[in-house]
Amino acid sequence: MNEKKHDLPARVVSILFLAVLFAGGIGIFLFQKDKSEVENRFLQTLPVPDADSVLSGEWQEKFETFTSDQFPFRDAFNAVGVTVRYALGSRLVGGSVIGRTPDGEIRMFEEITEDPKRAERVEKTLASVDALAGTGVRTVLLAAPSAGAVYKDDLPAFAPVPDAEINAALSGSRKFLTVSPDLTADESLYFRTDHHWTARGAGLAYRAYAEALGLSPTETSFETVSTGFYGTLHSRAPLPFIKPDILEVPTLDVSGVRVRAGGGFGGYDSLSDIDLYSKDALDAKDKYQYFLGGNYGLAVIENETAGDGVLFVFKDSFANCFVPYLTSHYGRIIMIDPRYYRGSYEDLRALFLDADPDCVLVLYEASNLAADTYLSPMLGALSGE
Amino acid sequence: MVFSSTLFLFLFLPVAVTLHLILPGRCRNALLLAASLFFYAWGGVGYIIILIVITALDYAAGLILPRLHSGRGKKAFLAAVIACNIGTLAFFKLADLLLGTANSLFSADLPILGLALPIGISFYTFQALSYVIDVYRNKVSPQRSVINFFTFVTLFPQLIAGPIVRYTDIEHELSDRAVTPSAFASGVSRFAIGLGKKVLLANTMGEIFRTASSGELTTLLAWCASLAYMFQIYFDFSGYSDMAIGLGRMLGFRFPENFRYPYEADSITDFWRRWHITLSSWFREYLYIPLGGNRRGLLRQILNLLIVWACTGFWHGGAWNFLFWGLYFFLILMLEKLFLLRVLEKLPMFVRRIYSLLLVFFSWVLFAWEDTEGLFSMIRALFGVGVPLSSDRSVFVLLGAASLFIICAVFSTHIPAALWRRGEQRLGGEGAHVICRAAAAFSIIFLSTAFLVGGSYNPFLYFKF
Repeated sequence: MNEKKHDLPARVVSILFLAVLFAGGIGIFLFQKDKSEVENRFLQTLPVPDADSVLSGEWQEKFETFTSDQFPFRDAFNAVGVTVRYALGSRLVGGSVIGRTPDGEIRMFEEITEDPKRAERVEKTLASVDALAGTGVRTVLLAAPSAGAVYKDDLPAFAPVPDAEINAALSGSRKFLTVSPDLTADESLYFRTDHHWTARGAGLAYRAYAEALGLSPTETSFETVSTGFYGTLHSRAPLPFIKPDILEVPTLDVSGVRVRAGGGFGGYDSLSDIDLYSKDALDAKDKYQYFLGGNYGLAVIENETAGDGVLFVFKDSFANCFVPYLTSHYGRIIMIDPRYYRGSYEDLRALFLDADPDCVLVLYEASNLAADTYLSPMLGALSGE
Repeated sequence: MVFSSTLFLFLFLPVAVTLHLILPGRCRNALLLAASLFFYAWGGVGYIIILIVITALDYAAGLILPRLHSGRGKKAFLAAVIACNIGTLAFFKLADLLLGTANSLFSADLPILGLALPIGISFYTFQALSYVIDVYRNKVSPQRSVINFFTFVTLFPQLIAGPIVRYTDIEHELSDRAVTPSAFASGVSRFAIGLGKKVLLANTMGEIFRTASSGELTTLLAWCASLAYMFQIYFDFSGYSDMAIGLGRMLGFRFPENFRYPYEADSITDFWRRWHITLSSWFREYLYIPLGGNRRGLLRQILNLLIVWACTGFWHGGAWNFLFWGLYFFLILMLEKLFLLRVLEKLPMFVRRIYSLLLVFFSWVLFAWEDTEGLFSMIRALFGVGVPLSSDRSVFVLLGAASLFIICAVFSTHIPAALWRRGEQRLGGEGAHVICRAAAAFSIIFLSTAFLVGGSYNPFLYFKF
């Protein structure tokens, strides 16, 4: 009897331990979600076993992912983990580099990995742009500086600054025209929780572009469409207590604009109508998709009130926020995202010759361009190499 | 299945441990056996056959050996059983290494088998062998129950990463054990400590090692990477042992200790009394002493040590660097035995500690790099040959790691445990101690869960052991 009493605390601890673990275990099976809003990805739901998947171990692997993906209060646990790492001094969490603005707000950056092949790849890509310009078509390169190059002072101490290779490569003489916007004006030109530039940043780049090509830029102001945007960098390092970004759009007259988009396989006929600004994205996590609703292999933007100028764009997602500015200058803008283009190079060549563009714009984020392996073979095929 | 996963922590563990608590004593081993086989088969159904065959062989050998008359026949039988055990182990570890080496030496074109090492084979083979040899030596009586013997070999807490539990360690508990609340609660604390070491410290260090050793090396990065690896391997391995010992207590077993603050060692001789204790004592008991130990003169002793350390090297992995790693320790231990220990004894303690730490540090460099190219570029970088001293990125990595390095360094010593004990002395009775320990344990489990569910870096180091 006496011994039992003496054992009471140990007994309670033992039972509590098992109870806590059981609660977690049962929680995994309750309230299943198939998507994580915070991380912006699909979650593994309870996998159904069959003989093959169990014998190959595939089911077990999925089941393990399921147990961590569906763990109760997963987002809260994740936030705790990330906060502890940050508090212990780590400034690189889940591939996001965590810095601070002069006002003390958190600003996140894409991780710059060491890549000895980067300079070589940049040179190859720029040579392919050069070759296209060599065929006689007017070619413009706009490499949006990476956020880390714009906000060097916001990077954590000693964090590597991106874009060195591309800046070095662009200093040489080229046949294409380089537009280098100065984006150091203020803190509102790039999102703090996403690697993209904002409509303001894109707007400044647009001015530089218009100036370089002798167009007269449209004056705009900005309208806020969302005040609660947490971008993809925040998805990877979901620190709590971070001020969300604001999503703005320029006040442009886009009433005559029609956008069709698709993978590009099957040419224009396979495209379907989309919106220049996708309202649905405002209810989703990745609100940058407000611009064009994401990336398409082939998109055609027509504006009946803008004359008959034709622009051909090779681009990444940075262009999605930029092209609305151009809709008043070109009647047709044909956009190719080489990463998602599903047509053949021959189809593309036919498309290109048929469009007979007045100008070709290559618009990428600088570090994205430095990592890209899709553009140079595509441009090579166009310039007949 | 690994301990540091939500699957193990929140499904397997509570179910297995609770069933073990509520089932009547005679069903417990059957339950543990079933649970252990499930645990093992989870990662790959195929290799469980090897586990079962080896265990069955050693079970049968244990029954046959006492029936044989002492002498040559019995010795030959034992030799054959050992050959089967070690042969299987050596085949999986060394076949591809030898084929690959033959190919490159004689430019032959022998096909590489590409066999994955069955998880835990190095651990369970040694456990089962200790039993067979002890039966041969009449140190233990054979285990007649198939279930009990299979339970001993496959016991999931120590099946895949040790400690190497000898049959004599748990012989009694296999047939008769009680789980008292205080033993269970102490098991909870021990398990939590191990989980924290693995998930909070080792995994974080592993991430730093990975970041620091990728890309352009500098001297600073090389030291960061190697230091991170040194901490990773200690906290990973000792954390796993702690979890195994803690789980053992929850199930009524007392497993032997495996680590005793090895980075506090004051010589390499001392280090190997503190690092992976169950492995070094296994080799002493079943290889070094049977070879004659130190009883046949200095030359023979040196040869015996050479054999033991070559085996220790290959036990850790089927690649040449593990052999070199073993021979590196052989060399240092030889020197210490011949004269160095006497020299060291005259030096102040901190010099001895720095001496040991540096030698251990370089041993892990040798251990970490299986390819000679990676090894040489790391060694060159450590000594600043042909690489810059530092770079912005190096300082960035160091700044991100600095506080964690300090935490790891502190927790490599006995100081936190000593402070905890001192704090407990000021607290009232045993009950208060249990509650404080539980509070700490639950905090560690909470934080480890936070690190685990975020899907942060969680490697499994034992696939090569």
